[in-house]
Amino acid sequence: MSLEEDSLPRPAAPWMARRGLTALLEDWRDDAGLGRCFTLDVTVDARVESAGPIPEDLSPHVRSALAARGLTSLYSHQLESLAHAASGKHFVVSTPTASGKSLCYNVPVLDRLAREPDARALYLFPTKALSRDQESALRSLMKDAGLSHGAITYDGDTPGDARRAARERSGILLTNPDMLHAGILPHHAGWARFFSQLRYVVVDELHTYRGVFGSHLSNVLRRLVRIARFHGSTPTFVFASATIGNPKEHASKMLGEEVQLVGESGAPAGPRNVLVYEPPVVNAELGIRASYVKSAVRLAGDLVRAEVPTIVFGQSRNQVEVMLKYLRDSLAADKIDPDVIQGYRSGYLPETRRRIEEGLRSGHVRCVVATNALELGIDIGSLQAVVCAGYPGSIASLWQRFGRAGRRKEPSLALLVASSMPLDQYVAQNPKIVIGAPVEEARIDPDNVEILLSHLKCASFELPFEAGESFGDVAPEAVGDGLDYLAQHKVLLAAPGANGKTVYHWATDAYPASHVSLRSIGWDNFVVVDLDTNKTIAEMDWRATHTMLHVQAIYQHDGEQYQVERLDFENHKGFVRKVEPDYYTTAMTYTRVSVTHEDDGAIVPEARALGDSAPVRPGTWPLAVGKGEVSVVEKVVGYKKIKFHTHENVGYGDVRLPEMQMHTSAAWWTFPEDLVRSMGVPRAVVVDALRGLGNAMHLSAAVGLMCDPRDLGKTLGDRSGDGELPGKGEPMGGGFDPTIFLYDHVPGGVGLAPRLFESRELLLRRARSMIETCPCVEGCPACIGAVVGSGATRPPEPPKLHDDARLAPEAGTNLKELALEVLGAVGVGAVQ
Amino acid sequence: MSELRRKLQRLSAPAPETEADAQEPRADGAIVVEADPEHSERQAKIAALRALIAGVQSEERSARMQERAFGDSGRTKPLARASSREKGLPGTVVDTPLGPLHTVAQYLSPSHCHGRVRVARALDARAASLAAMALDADIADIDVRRVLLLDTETTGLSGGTGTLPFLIGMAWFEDESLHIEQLILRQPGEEAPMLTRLAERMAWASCIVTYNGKSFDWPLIRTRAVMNRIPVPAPRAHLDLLHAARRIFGPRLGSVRLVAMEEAVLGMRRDGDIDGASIPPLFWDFVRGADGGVLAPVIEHNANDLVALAGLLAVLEERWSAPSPDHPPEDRLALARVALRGGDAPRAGWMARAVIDEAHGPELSFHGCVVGADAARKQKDAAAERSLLTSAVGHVRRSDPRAQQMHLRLAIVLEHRLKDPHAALEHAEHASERDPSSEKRRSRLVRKIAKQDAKPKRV
Repeated sequence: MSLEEDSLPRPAAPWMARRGLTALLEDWRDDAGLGRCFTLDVTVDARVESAGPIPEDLSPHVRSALAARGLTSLYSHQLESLAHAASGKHFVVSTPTASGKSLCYNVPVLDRLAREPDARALYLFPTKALSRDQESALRSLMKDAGLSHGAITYDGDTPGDARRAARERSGILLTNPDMLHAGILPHHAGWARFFSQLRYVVVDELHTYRGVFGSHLSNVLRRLVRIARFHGSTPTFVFASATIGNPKEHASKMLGEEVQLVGESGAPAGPRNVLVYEPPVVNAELGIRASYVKSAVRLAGDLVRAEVPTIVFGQSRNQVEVMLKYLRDSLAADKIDPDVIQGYRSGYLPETRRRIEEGLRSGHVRCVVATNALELGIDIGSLQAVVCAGYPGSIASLWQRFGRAGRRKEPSLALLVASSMPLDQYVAQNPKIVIGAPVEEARIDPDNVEILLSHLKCASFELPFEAGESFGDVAPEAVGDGLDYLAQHKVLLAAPGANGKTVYHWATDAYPASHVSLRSIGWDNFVVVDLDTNKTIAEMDWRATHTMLHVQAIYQHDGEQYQVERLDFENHKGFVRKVEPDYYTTAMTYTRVSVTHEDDGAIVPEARALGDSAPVRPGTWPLAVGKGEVSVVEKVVGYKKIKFHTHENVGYGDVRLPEMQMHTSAAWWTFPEDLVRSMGVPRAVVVDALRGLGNAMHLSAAVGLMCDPRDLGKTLGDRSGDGELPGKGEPMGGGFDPTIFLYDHVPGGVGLAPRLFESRELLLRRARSMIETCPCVEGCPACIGAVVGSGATRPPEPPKLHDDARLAPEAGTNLKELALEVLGAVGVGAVQ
Repeated sequence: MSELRRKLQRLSAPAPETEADAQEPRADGAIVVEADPEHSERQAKIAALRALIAGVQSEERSARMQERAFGDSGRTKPLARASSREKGLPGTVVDTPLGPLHTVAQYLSPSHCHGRVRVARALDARAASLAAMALDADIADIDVRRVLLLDTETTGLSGGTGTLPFLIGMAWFEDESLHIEQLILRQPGEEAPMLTRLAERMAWASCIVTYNGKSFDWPLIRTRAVMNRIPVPAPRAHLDLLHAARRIFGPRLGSVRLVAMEEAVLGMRRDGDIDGASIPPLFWDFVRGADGGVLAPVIEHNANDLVALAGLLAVLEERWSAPSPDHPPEDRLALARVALRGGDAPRAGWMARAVIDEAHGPELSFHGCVVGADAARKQKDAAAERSLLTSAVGHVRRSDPRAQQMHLRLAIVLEHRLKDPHAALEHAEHASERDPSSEKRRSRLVRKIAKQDAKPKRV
């Protein structure tokens, strides 16, 4: 598209390019075309080093291993960790990427092994690749320390004889939560020696364990502690996390015990230039911006020409390939060897990674293009710039990517190139949240009833419960209720035990762990089969199947598009074929939410504090906000085809699938019927505006909660949930208080909704700011959602004046303005 | 009411954990082990008498032990369970210091046959033969009169700490009678007495004999000992007949399941034997209050398995020490291969020759020749190897890839052992052309022939 190409500022001619980051940044700022696209350009101050000598009492073995790495001192957070470990306290290390976190646990663990040859430690990593990486790093450290304890990765790929060695001899066992859950704990009797000597449990990448996965892990840890106790040990837990807002709270909830925080990094860092780039608008009416992928490629190309070692993050494997190709093509014109740019994907063998890392150190490689920060090796020493093509979904993961550059004391660059996706647009319009906003918090709910029950089953299989026993921090009474429930359903058998107490025995021939998947709730997953290759390309939980795998849906996987040809609902299989459509599909869901139990309620705006005489602003309506348990009935009734880039609605289709019901937790905002009437436009239009407001609240909530927008459901309904929910644009009867529901999109809930209730007013203000600052005219997916109904199919009209719109509401009211008015009416005024 | 209970009330019932349908309980609770009707009456009397004696003895013994236990710790006796729960369950309950133990005891008469095999002939087995067939030197010095046959019935087949052996079946010889003792778990949590009884029996035994026990029964028992904090009993030796049976009968039978062995090797066919998958639900039915009679088919099944183990021991000994033309030639060739693996090349050689001499057709003769040739090679008898390989070539078609393999082996023997490059070259020509080394071999042989031909001229 020539329009798009022209809009990108041309790169400087090679002979004009200057060397070095500082010079390049100056050039960018001076360039009139580029300069105005940076919505954020700030420098985060350098951090000075804080370190101290290695403690005298550290084992000489470990000391010599550190010396072999040129370490004669340790950073303050590493010293703090040692002190906690020495006093036997659980602790969580939450410091930026690449601050030397792994030494925080490796040093205390190896020190213990050096003193106590029979001691054992368990390391948990979220992925196999990470375990393998750590295994080799750990082995070399142990070799230098002269420790012969061994470190073995135990997962599905471990061969039989190594498994035996792992059980019987290995000092450190590296594995993942799934293997611990299904492969080790159910067979713990065979691991008796390991568990009886277990001194440390290390949980790395703690920030990745949130939502359902985190809630499962918390229960796996409850089981682990229980089994360790059976074999006579009480291990110390060490958590390591990238920066999140609530590391101490998250770790404590994960373990169900008090965990100490090591949160101040003593590692030095140079000044960091943080920039947000928003590609220029190339078509204002349709809201089309220049391609963010091409923009990222162009900026990364400048960095390579300026000889700044750079890493570029893409959103998918496919996108990485595209960027790699574009970058190499653009540099070929300058006679730059294409091999200075390397891809860096999951699935690369360790040798390949090491070769790339070696190339970066020696300067042969100047740029790597990667998908996921998690999959990166541990030590890429000399990167100076990070380019993030697309917002990774949360501030915390953005900073994990940003953290990959700037380890030295010199200045570095962290650059986000925003895409046209709603969240990206929000960040680009509110770039201060990148540096100013508190970092997102990780949430789990280990007591989610379905998750807890699954693990009570697994725990009963591992070791019968005795009446009065607790389960982690679950009180005996609640544990008893759960066990009685399972006994009623003949999963357990309650029998009198030797000391007169009831004992609950596992009482069926099934093996419970094989029915419980940690990565989602429910065990009836669907598989997605590619008809061309006859291979399974993905697995999907039952609930998501309805909206993403219905017949004719465009299923997106790894940046590729597939069309669903057949859904075998009975056998849990979806058959897809690769296509290259210019549209994607979104399911149209009728959702009916009814409140089953209201836990708390409040009125917005809050009554002023005592003594504050200022009255609630006159003319504002009270907004009732509540939280509690709800029943959600969802039925997918059809789908829309949405054109890529323009988000035009280009067609509809029907879907016939059974409805789904779940109980979960929700927060809700009820707008009084009288307010709706007072807006001076037909109520259906007000309802559409409220629906748009719900969309904006949903997006703001996802940003604020550090969760995938899909983890959070939204709907507009009636407070009681009795009435059929009218479709968009349909007329509706009176006696209906429109209510915006935001709920945990997981049976039982994982604790998102209660947080939303806590920040009920803030959320409204954030939604207002999101709508106000959005550059679109009448609403777009980045704020109040795609304008549907009449607006979607009619040809684009020239932007109307605000006043015109108000004069002729039925001809096409500006829903964006209306949504802001409604907010004003409940006292959420314009942002100052 | 706890928060959890409130949420539980809204939850639908969990999916059923088992899919297998519970079998209709058998009307009669009797254990039917007898397969030979002639002896049944007399034997039933003896069995009943011996069981009675055993019951009295064990009660006396346990009473003595109890006195000791009370003297040591003053611990109170665990509550005995209501006897209504064991209604219909065959056997007797004895009190032990660790709690009540339910046992079923039976004696088989010395003349008892399982299929066509007299069970007591297992006593004729020699440790050396068993060790040779098991390829396990630890078996070589066991006392065959003190082997403990062991088989368990469990609450699941997938293993793990939640799977219980609810029936531990043991059998051993007392004089010429096989004494079967089955320990039955009346409810979970009462495993200690049965595991302790097992440990006592194992302390007496020189070896345990199982079928797939190395990967299933034994790890499970070890797990139960750990879970019940009982010292893990260590078998002095463990003969897992599955492996020997697979090597010796597997090639002919395909299946190595015990019932398949029983039918084909012992000539025993069970009537109305319970299917393995339906065993676990019967136990849970019983524990949840069903009449003890529901377990009768399980007890019978287990007893049959134990007797089959004894029968297999007898058959294996006979096959090893007295091979006869009556034994299937496939089995004898398989046995010859086992002998070869165990380092007994002479035995492998004569067993193979016997099969060849009986002329069972080209296929078996071919295999016989190959085994014989392998044995000859082990014995470094190149001439015999050559003649056997030559015969082997004669038993397969020219186009059969195996013919090419034989030619290749002949070429190697002739070149390196018999130093006959002329003959070797002839066979090398027939060996596979796809073999990358064949061209090298041929040119090397041609050189050797040239050299050999040159020598006499110089002399």
